[in-house]
This record gives sequence, structure tokens and C-alpha cells, in this order.
Amino acid sequence: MSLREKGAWASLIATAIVFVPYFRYIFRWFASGELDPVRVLAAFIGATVYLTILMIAVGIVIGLLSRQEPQDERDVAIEAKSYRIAYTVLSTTGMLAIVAIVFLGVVPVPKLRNEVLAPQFLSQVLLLCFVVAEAVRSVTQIVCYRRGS
Amino acid sequence: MAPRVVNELRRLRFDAGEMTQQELAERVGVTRQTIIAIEGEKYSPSLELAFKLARAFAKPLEEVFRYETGPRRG
Repeated sequence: MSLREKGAWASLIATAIVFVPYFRYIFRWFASGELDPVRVLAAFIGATVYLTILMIAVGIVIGLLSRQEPQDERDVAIEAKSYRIAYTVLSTTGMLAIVAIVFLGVVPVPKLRNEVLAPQFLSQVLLLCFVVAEAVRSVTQIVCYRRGS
Repeated sequence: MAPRVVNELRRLRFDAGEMTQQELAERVGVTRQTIIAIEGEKYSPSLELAFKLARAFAKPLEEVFRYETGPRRG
């Protein structure tokens, strides 16, 4: 397994370790009406710090255990392909989120409308779009490296 | 069947004293995985890398790479 494929696995696993429980809590708080801005901000800062520390630690371990390799043209091509697909996912999920927000904004249930349009919820929907796109980027890289393409 | 780039890297490595994929990769400045992908015809190199590979075997480009139509080699 190449250094960059290991990096893609590390990124995918770290993203899953941090953001799967994160969004579980976020949507649980949303469902129970406990999604207040301070709580969301604290969770977001905690998740970001945790992800940063995790990625640095894993990066150091991979660097120490792997042979150092130059980034070659195939790595660049795979990276470009993964970003292209991730951008498509990001723009699609972002557009779907906007459409959903617009429709939910006109539902005749004021409580639901106010909760869905609250900044602390909208910010998490946008964050989810970015996290999904990041996961797709890592998965694309892994698939390309596995297939040898 | 769509035309594709085929190559003689495996045979040329064998002819060059069983040069390893790692040795060839280091000579042309890529990873061993890229040499594996090119040999397996899963990745078509850039023109620059194709010339570097040909130069590594002291062969003209057309003796290393061909553009042809036909079934994929097993």
C-alpha cells in the first residue's frame, strides 16, 4: 500500500471516528429540542481539535512506518479526480440542502420551521455536506489506488 | 474495441537483467505503484514519463509504447 493510499485511509477513518458520533449527538439534540448555539459551538470546536490531533498523530505514525515516496503524476491525477467527484457531491448535497431549507421554510408548522431555519441547525447541515464530500474524496482515492488506475 | 496504449515494460525489465519495478520507479522518479499500474495497462503515463521510461531502457518510444486496438492482455 502506497504512502498516499494510507493517508486516504487515515483521513477516512479519522473523519468517521470524529464525525459519526458528532452528528449522532447533533441530530439527537435536534430531535429533543436541545440544540442550542453554545452547545453546538462547543461540540464543533471539540470535534475540530480532536480531528486535528488525530490526523497529526496518524500522519506521524504513517510517516515513520512507511517508505518516503515522491508524489508522482498518477498521485496528482488521482487527487484531481477525487477532488472533482467530491466537488460534485458537495455542490449536489449543498443544492439539495438549500432546496430542502426553502421548502421547510414554508411549512405551516411554525415550531418546526423555526428549528430548521435556526443558524445552529443550518450550520450543521452545511457541515454535513462538507464532511460527506470529504469522505467521498477519501473513498475515491482509495478506490483509484486499489484498482491501480 | 477502443484503441489503447499498450507497453513492453515487463519484457524490457526482464531484458535489462530483471530490473525490479522499484529500480525502474526510482530511475524515472515515480512510485512502484505507478510502474505496476502502467505495466498492467491501467494507467497511461504522460508523454514526459513515457519518454523517461523509454530513455531508462535506451529504446525509442515506439519500442516501449504502442497505440493499438485489441483485447486486453491477461
